[in-house]
Amino acid sequence: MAGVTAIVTRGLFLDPGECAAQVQRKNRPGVSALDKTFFIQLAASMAAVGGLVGLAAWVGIARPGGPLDVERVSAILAVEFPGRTLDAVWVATDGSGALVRSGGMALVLCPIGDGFAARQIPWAQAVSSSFRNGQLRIDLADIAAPVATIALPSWPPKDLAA
Amino acid sequence: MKAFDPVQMATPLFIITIILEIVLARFGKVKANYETKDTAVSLGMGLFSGVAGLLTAGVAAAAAIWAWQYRVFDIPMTAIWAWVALFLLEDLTYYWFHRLSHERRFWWAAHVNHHTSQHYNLSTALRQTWTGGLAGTWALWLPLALLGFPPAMIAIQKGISLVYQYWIHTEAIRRLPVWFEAVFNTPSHHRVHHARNPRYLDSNYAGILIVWDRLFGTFQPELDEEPCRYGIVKNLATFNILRVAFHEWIGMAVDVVRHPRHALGYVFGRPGWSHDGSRDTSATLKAAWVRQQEGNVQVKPDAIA
Repeated sequence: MAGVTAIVTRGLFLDPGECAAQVQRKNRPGVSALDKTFFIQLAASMAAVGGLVGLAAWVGIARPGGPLDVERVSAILAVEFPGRTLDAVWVATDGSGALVRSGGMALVLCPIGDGFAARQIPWAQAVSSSFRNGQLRIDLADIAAPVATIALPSWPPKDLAA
Repeated sequence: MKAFDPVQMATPLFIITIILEIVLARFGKVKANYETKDTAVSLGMGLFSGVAGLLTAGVAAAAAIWAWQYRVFDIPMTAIWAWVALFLLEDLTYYWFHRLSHERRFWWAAHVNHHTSQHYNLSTALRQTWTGGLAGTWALWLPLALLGFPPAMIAIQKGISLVYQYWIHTEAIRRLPVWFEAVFNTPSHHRVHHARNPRYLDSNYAGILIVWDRLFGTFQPELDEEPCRYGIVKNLATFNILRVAFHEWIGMAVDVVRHPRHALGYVFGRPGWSHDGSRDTSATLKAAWVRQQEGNVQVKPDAIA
């Protein structure tokens, strides 16, 4: 153990900054490894992150987007699900999402920031999704895309529900 | 004794250059897009990756020191040739670490969060893993210690590599001189690495030298006719940082619980592997893309990806 300590204190550690600092702190009785310096650095870093995020928000240089329409939905889905036929398209009334029937599947387009995420689920699952107050809430059963909420005038569509 | 840590030293540079990229983009001087929540997730991941790294740094350090005690050669930290040799060997190690992190789901689970942004800017570089230490990829560097490179020397070179890879996360730089693009990893090469276009998947794993990709057949140049689309094959529909950090681990665990007989495949198979072939891997996506290019579109109509 003494040999290892000697090696470490000579600077032969994997993470030079933290390991050296921690070894030095541990050699001083009564001083925790996670001491004041660590929390000051963490707080300063959090402040820097907050500043940068604030700057990004203030400057406003997200991708230009605008509400979805059928043409744009088709273009996005042609990339996400190439070769798939789009039998029927429902674009959210606020233009921030879409649901498409493609054979026995429903293709769902969820807005995320200035982009989109696409998923497919069985059509029957989409049809049976809950619809309240003009919001269709689709459970995508995906940890990375748990739920899609799409504003629609009505649901399910009577002629395509089967 | 004050230790030399390239990443810590470069931190002010990270902040200044992100500010610079945002401001220059605002005035139309360079190409860059920053979405607020996306930026917050990237920087938040970076901030807490350092904290998470502390949890396993001790184990990794102890392992490196242990390995170094059984070293084959005594390699001096003061020799230039030793640094040149380490530069090459560490970069080669990084290439295989990175390739493993993309081609096997267990390590992809730790690395995927770095690729989850649909943006490609300097903040994306800081979207670092929280679980890399737990995934044990640090073990790949142990042979260097066994060979005789002092652990501190390896740590410094790893830091230099990490700092180098920071500046290539940008759309602000289009192409660099041909000789540079031929030898080094560049923004252009790394944009391809972050792209989700089928033809760009699983390519350009380099850290500093792109020559490893050329050597091992994974090099793919950026093509003007095919702009990069960033993110992962199935993009995240959430900015919840915990889901960003752990979604693939959870997905993997769910698959193992549902299909215990195929656990090895779900853990160590390629990302997207499934026992019934119902999901897409990079290989199947590339094959479908090739068929599409050949005008022979064949689609699995009802496959649940």
